[in-house]
Amino acid sequence: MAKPSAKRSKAKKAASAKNGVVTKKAAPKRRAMAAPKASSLKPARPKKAASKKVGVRKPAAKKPQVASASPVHTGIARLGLIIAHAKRDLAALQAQEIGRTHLPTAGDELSAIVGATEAATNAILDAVERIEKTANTMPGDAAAAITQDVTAIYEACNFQDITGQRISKVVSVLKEVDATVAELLATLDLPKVDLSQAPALASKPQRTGDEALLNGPQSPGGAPNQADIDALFDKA
Amino acid sequence: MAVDLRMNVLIVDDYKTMLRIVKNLLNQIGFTNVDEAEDGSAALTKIRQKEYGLIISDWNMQPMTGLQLLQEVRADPKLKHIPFIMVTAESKTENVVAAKQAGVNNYIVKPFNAGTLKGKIATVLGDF
Repeated sequence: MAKPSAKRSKAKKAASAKNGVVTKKAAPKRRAMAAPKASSLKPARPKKAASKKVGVRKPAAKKPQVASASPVHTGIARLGLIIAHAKRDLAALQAQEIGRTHLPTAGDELSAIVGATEAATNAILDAVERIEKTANTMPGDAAAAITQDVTAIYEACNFQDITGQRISKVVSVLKEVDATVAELLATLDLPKVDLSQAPALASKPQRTGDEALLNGPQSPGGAPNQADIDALFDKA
Repeated sequence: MAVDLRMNVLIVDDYKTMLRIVKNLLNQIGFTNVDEAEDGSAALTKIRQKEYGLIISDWNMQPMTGLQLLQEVRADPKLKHIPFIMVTAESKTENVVAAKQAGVNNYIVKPFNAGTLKGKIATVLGDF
């Protein structure tokens, strides 16, 4: 048995038709060509054709013709929106700052590790070479025992070459990332960010108290050396 | 035939610490005339000026790599007889194959120990 509301609807339609009122599918709106809402990046679903009363039929020539949006047009509009969002997000990330400061700093830190391990290895080798010379002046068994240990130290010092090569690899990867970020920035033509006014990166929490003093070993060059520190103490 | 420990040996590596380590290990074995070069082209200059009985070279160097040095040595009729050992961290099969095809006599993977170095030299030059 049909529900009363359905009956009413059927009767209404019949009456409308009788009075010259027609029911037609609404033409797709031009709005479909425009960029979708910012929050919607999902693929577009074709909207169900809505039934709409458009009143008494009038000559078709007087009604404005509305072009329907093809899936290609909608797709292009969507791509445009995605690119616009990516540009906005990159600008918010201060991508210039990543390329300008963070990546080069990381590279410098890694290069400093190579330099420090090389210096330490050379210091070890200096000492071991002296020990070996001394051992050569000692009686047979003692000299042999010391030489054996000296050889073991030489072998262990291989690490400097291996770690140096591994770190050099990472440095070259960072340089590639740096170049790619620069390329991306140039392609997207991001708005310039005034870095002096810009807040710190959201992912980098502000350190406070003692934690703010923990910066690790400084890169060689601009960092104060022991003489500079001594001078500071002398002033106080 | 016993190895002549007075022969000139050239070690080639862009890491000065490795040059020191290999030189000290060679001295321990008994080699007394050990020269050093920091890349392939510097090595090639030395090889053309002095007679060497053995070349021990790293692979990954600039501007001339160890493989390029090996190819240059093997392409020169005056030098092609010199025994050549590659000492490198490049341990992929294709590296070893490429070095072998270029005429390397032996191949040592870093990190290595003194026993391996001595053993490979003995394989190339003969017993000590």
